[in-house]
Amino acid sequence: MSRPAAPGFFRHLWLLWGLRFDIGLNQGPGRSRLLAVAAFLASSAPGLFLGLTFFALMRLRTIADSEVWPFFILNLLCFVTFSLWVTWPLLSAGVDDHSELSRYAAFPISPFRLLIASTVASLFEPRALVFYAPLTGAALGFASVYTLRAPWLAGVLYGLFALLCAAWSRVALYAVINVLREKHSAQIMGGGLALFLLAASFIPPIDTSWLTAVGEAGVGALDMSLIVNAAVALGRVPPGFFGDGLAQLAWHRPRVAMAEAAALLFFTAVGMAVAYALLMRFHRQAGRAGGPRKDAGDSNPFATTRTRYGTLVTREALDLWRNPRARLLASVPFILAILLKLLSGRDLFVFILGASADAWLMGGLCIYGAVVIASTFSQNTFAYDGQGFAAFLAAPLDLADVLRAKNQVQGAAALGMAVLVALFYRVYFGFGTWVDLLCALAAVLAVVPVLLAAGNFLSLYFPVKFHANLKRRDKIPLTASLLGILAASAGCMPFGWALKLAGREGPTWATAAMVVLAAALNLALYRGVLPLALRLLEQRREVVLQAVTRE
Amino acid sequence: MTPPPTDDLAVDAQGLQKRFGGFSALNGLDLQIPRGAFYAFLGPNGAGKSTSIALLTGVYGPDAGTIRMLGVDAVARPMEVKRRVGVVPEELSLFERLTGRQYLTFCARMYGLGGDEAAARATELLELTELTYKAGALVAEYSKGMRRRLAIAAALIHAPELVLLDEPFEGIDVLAAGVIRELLRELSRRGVTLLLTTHVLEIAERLATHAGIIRGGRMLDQGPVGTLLSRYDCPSLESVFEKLISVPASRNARLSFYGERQESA
Repeated sequence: MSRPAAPGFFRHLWLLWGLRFDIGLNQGPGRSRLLAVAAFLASSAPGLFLGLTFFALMRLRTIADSEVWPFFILNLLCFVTFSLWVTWPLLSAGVDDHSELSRYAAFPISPFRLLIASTVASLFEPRALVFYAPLTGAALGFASVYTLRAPWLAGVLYGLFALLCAAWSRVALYAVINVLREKHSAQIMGGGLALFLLAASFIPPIDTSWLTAVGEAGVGALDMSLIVNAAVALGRVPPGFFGDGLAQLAWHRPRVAMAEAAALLFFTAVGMAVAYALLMRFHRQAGRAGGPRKDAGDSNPFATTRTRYGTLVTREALDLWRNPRARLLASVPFILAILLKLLSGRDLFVFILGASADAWLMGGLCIYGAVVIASTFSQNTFAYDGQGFAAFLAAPLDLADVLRAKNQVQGAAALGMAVLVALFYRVYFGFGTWVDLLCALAAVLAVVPVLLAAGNFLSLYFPVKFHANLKRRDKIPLTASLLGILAASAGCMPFGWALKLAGREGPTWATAAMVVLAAALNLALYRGVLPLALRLLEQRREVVLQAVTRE
Repeated sequence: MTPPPTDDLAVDAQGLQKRFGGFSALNGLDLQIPRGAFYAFLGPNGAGKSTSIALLTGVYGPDAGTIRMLGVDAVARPMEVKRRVGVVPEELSLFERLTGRQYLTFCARMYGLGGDEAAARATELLELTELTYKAGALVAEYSKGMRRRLAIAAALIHAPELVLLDEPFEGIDVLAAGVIRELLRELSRRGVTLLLTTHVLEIAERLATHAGIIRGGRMLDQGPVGTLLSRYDCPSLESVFEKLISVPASRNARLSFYGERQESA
């Protein structure tokens, strides 16, 4: 029997891109392709706005005539775009459909080609329109002002920059999922964080004295050598080769631009090689171990619980503790705090917010820490239960207790996170008063009941199944995400208002009392709506069961 | 001494070894499947069946041993083998946001089929697997049995000479099992070599021409079903299986917490 030849690279690329396109079109509510296109256009609108804004900015006479600002803006945007593109997939912490090798194992396509083709195809995802819009607008604006030598090379540089971002985004994702899949991922991440902290302590803080100068004498007093140095520094790291390459073309040095293109290609190849090694490592170890094997450290906390409710709470706590995504999310606020100190970001906040800066920062980090834990898990509270939810239904217990136990554990975890983040901030930065600390923790106390109350309803109206094995990337309905963000924003409002009232003088005990009062009211609100959620749970138990046990 | 490779065999794997960390999944497995055979690959949970299939399909590489499939060295030339082999994995990782028809057409294109041919085969296979009425629905909306049938259709879309099926009857209802059983019979009639892993020995008994029984990553015995029955003097594959695989001690557990039955007077 004659068989067709296996598809070539470009055919594979076309097929994989087509696959993403079809999947994207099928995402619309009720599978309406029209709605999917409308949602895509609506979500891309900010991209268009950002692109046009940066295009116009680069053409502004003040910027265009400057010998520094265009290059600083371009290089900074390269760095920001690269960072966003690389870190964005990390938060989902799961292998997407397009790089789970087992899906393609039967097809005549090698894992390496699959990685390359799916990485290139990933650049045509809708989010690219938003993420790349500012840089694209700025680059086009730059090109419209300057006469570029060998303009085709600008296109090549842009393409290589996009490939660099795509390759290193795979490196980051596969590195993280490799760590998360390890049995001792918590220890590895904790150790990594400690090492990061140690390494960061050797880096001298950025000189922020210019902020004081600008504050006292206006923008004219800004020492431009700082901007020049920043532009040069950003142009020396691989993502900046694109901005620097464009500058070289504007200065009619195509050979240098060519060398930067070669460097971009080199770092892309390195990224792909590392990503491939990490992916294969993940894939090779994803197999079942099989056979009976006693786990030496296998404790049994359920043997010591005293009540059935206590057993439920213990199960929830254990489930959350062992969830690799929870571990990843829990580390984010600490990393943000370290980065904030590395970049001397606190000084900027002090410059803008005065004595309120520490309360804002501490509160912001605590709320972030609490929100990622509370909202990620409370808004899909049954998602990880799977067939376990059927076991709850079959057991002689009140289903309301299950939801109460979940709320209790998620609330406690969020508060615990907030306390740890606040203490870390106080010790690491050495700033922040007791009032700041109280405001930050009260802010979390205010936001958590709102998140839990909203989460209960979202979990029941938009039940989804999540996979705990990292081999799938789970998607939350857009409406549910937006409502969750709305709830978190509403919960944060008292904190924002109270600090705004406090002004640059900083919060007082009265400010803290206001936030505490709001927290008490939100707690009352939570308790008030809980019976409604419990009633709804009884009504929608079958809908939830169907959703979370779906294959 | 291992026998020399022969092209009369659809699968000729010798001395396969595979370790996952400290656990040895396969310990020198030999597997020989004649062309055109319907081979039932049997063994208890954790025996190494799925690992063997993963090695045959190139998901993992063997730590030691050789694999020839359809006369081709599967380790050295995996792409050539993949063009001629169909796989139905135990864990169905289908693209949930594609419709059944889109999914099958995509699979066909990945094997290099042209657009029209791919669409035509997708239609025929949807009909054959009784999924035509759901062809336009998302895979996410399919039941377990429907997914299983769709996965089988996808494995057949490029008319493979050898099909590997890992637990195709797991967790599906009688009707879906009937559709799959008929489909496998038809494939067997058409000379396609089939390797089937299943825990339902009754199905293996009804369909298979050959069988192999594996435990602890080693092949205990294999051959034509009739030969195995006479070799062990057993009336059925199930009894051969029980003879070769010792009954676990836990089957004799006492359920002491129930207490003894109180006979009424």
